[in-house]
Amino acid sequence: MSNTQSQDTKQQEASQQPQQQKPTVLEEDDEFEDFPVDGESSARVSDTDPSFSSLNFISPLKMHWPENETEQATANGNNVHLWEESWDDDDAAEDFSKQLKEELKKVDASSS
Amino acid sequence: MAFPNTPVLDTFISSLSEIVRDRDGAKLQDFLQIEPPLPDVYTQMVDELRRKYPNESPKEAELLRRCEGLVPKSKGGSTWTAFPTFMKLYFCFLRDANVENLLETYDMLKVLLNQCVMALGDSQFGIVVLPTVLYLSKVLAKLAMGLDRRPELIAHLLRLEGGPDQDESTEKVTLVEKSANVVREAFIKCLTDRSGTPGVHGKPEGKRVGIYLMANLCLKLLFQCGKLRNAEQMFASITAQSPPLKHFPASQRVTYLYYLGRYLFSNNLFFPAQIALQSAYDQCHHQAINQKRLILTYLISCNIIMGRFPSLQLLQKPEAEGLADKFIPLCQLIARGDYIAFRDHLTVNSPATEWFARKGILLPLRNRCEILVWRSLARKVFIHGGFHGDPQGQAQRGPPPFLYLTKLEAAVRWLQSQHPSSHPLPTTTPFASSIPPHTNKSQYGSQIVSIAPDPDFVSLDAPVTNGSGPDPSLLSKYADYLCPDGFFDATGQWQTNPTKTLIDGTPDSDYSQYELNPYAETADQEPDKPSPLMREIESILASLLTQGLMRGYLTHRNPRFAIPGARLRGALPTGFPNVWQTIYARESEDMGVPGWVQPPPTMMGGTPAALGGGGRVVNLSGARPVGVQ
Repeated sequence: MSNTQSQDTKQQEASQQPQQQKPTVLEEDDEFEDFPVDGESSARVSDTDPSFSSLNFISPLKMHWPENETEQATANGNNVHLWEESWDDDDAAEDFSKQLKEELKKVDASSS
Repeated sequence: MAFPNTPVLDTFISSLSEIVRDRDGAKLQDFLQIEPPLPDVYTQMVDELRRKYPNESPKEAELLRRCEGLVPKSKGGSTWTAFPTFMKLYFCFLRDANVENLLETYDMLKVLLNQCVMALGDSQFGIVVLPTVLYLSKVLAKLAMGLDRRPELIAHLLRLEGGPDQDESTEKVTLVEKSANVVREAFIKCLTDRSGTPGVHGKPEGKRVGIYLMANLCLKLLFQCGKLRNAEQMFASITAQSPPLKHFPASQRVTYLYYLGRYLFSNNLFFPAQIALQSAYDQCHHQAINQKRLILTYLISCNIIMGRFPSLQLLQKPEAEGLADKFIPLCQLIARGDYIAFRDHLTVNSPATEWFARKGILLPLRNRCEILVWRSLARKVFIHGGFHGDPQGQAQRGPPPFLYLTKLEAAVRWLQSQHPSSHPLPTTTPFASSIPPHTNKSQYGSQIVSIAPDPDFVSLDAPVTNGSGPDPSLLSKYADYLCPDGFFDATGQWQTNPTKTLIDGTPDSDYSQYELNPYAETADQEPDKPSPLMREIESILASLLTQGLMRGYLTHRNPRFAIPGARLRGALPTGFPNVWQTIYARESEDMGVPGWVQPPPTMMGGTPAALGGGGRVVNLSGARPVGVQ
């Protein structure tokens, strides 16, 4: 009753669908992936211990990271400026503005 | 009792009984594997089950009896009856699951999960199966979503199942939605745990630890099957009964805030959506690139709609890879003010559209950002064609800065002439090609919105336009008037017309009255009457004023946009205030996000701050003294 399956193979297989006919299709970038559970990197008891006794599994219930590993904590250090509030395009030399200006001059000329 | 034929099963059951005794939910979940490939021990156990307890044999009752032995007998006599039934179903699932028939597998798994959720309902032992409920829910969700994307895998089975009694009139519930409904039951069991302190003062204890795990899974399924409306009740229940979100682990917070933000976004509640998504982004693990990219997709959309563009710094981050190509052109078009180019960019056949549509942000961006494009256009026309106030007249009371709307009208006509293909004339008669676009004086429909005919209806368009064109009998009678040999143009120059085209475009009058009175001229032909285009421009500007995106007033008789009170800050910042700051000032009065439970306000002097309002805090900052208008 020994289980010789290596952990790597197991991980690979476990990440697939329960039915192996359909690989890859589930990896859609539109889907919000589950955060990897710490415990998933350690072997599950049923793989290594056929007597069903020991356990070193970490439940997804506790999946957590400290604040200093968050985006905010790392971003604050670099002082990243995320948003532009002032984006009005005041460049009169830009093509669209130039043409618009010419058109408006024509209107002035024809009405005066 | 000895079961010499089933050594593996015996070990398994005796281990399970220890686990249940120790109430070790995580270990129980780890034991109850169902996803192939199963480890060898499970294969051996399945063999034993098939031998000793074959399907539909009287021996199955014996299996159930063995499972009943797993449940500790409580003193009160009440036992956890749902659990043995669940365990028996688990063994049957292992024994019978047939990966050749995914539909059957799905149904069996759903029944198994349902029973597990019932076991979860037990007030004393329910919590032990919580990790198992989560695990089974995830497998069920994965299977349902996989089949949803690859329907051909079960198409033949559905056809067999359908049969003649299949009712076409009732709404079909997809596998994904069915799964969401089961998962929602588990969510409710978690939320309504009666142990400990309930609601906003509670902590994630007992089954409440599962609230957001189950909610997130359910939301994922509801998003997949497009039944977001069903999520409304979930958010309401969470608001009413959940402990504050901040007490839950980071992964659950981030995932929940992402779905909540997307839900609010799809309900056009962009400001709270932005708060939720920004928080999801901030709290996300810095290495979770894919999650951050998805959050950013919606966070950036929210911000653009509210007049705040992503910075280059943000777009250069690794998680924003690919997003710059999508959003920068959009932002540039908004700032430029060419509303037709903006529409063309997000039109049905545009190459840029597919990605936006797939992410579910195409229509919000198209519908909500166009007003910003109009603001940019009005602003540019004001810069180049408006009266900016008397520079020397600081002390005197001169007229306020203003813009004649005829200039905006001219700018719109110019834009239309720049995009002839996407702004076709309403009439496509053989004569139309010789008519310059600015002579388009159709009285019907919008002058600004021009929608290309649906390909299916293009052929129908032809006879209609022929009908509105001049009919031959009309031309034969009035050809000397409608298509003369020549005419004087607007500057008084004689222009010959050798091709005999319609010099004033397609006649839009009813000429039958001229049969009797050749001098008949209807009263509404007066030259001062504003064009339909002008009327549309006025209403667009009125909308901008109502939303606070422009400040000033409109005059209707001699159409102008005037900017009073501009002396201090200047005409431009006064008349065209910053979009984001305007929206923020208005929306930030209420920073609450529905569906996001915050810790209760701190007690003041031992009295709950929100005593009278039934949990609601009344903001009196805007209240005025009695009697003051």
